[in-house]
Amino acid sequence: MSYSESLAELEKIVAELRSDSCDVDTLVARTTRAAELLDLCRKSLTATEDELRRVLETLQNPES
Amino acid sequence: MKTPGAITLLELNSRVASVLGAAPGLNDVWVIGETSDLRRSGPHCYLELIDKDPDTGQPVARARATIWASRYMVIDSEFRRATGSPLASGIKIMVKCSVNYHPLYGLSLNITDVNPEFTLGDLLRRRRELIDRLTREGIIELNRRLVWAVPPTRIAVISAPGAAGYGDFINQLYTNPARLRFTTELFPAVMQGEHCAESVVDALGRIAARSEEFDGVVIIRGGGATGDLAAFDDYALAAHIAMFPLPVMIGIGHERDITLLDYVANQRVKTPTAAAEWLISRGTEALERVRVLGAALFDTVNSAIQRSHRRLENIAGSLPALAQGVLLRASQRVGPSVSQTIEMAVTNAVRHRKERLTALAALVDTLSPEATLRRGFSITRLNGRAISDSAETTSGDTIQTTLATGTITSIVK
Repeated sequence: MSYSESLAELEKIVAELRSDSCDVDTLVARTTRAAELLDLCRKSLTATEDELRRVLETLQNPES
Repeated sequence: MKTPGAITLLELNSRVASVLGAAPGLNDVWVIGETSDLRRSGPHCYLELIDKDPDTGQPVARARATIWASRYMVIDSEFRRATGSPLASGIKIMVKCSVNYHPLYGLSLNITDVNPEFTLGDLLRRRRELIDRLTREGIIELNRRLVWAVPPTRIAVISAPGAAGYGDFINQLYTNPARLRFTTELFPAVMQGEHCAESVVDALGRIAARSEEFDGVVIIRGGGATGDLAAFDDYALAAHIAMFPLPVMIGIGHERDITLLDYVANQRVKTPTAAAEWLISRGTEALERVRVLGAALFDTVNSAIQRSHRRLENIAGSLPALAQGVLLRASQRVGPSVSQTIEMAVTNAVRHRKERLTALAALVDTLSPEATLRRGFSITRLNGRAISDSAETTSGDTIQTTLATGTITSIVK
């Protein structure tokens, strides 16, 4: 799932939570999903240290 | 057989030399021509000046010329300062020269001065013509109207592989403090000299064939010495960039001068490093958007929980009376066993909701930056932006530290 897709769904959930008087069960489900999406967004934008190191190594030794 | 009166070639050439030496109008003349075959040999500069027929482009006059070392240093640096490019082949030029004739080496011009304004005017006029042409063809704004992906992370790079500027770009991009993830692929090109434009067009073609794999193109060339920018005033290259399906950013390492490409590219920055910074700031904005949404979510869910709690308390408060009424009516109709079932169902429903709310509160707590702050961590901001590395500050900066309760303002020593 891409950043923009995750972001769009997140925005929808926030709008939904803001607008309606949704019941507790829906609230739990939506919040759980939103937490997942937030994590996806962050992960799709940022790299782990291992990834960065690998990329830099590859770029420094393009032949290897 | 001997014809009386014959002379040697040396004598003839010497006569030519002496006639030319005494002739008027051959010393310190300002001459307009186009440079060709320009080369440096030792400290001196050798070239040819040619005059072309404006209609056919065919040479109609040609002369060898020399700029001796003593003048070349001054002339070349003045020319660079005024035009942004060194003296090179293929440019219109106005020179002050004297005609020399050497019995062995023949005719040549000794150049003692150059008027860079003339070349500059010619370049500007040519660029203006090309801009008009791109405008007439309706393509000049096409690339500038393209919108970058949010955020752009898959970047096709056109650069000379070993160039310092490419190293700067990569280094900047992959060591960004927010650890944004970028993927880059290098499409090598010759970034100076007469094949530059052609080579960049070729690289663009290779990217276009795989355009769905990239968010944009960055064309960069190392900083440092002022290079030859004439290649970037090329019509074919400008037209390719204008019509390219992906947004193109150029950072060709030049502070002051603009080229035709500046009129067609979606983004122009001064240096390769600035190109990387632009991409990083787009990514940082996207991350910030996520943070803001997370905070909004936290607030919304929190107040929803509070609302639900209030509602439950209201229900709980009116429950005894309600339940009694229900039980009374029920017992009148169906007897005690059903009324017990109803009582249990109501109690269970209330308990179930309370449990869900407690679980939700815990979940929301983990989303919250405040939870982290309560554990003793703090957020340090410089100019409103959260920082994670002390190297981002310099002595004298004012920083804000946000704690679980309150904010401290301090000055970096």
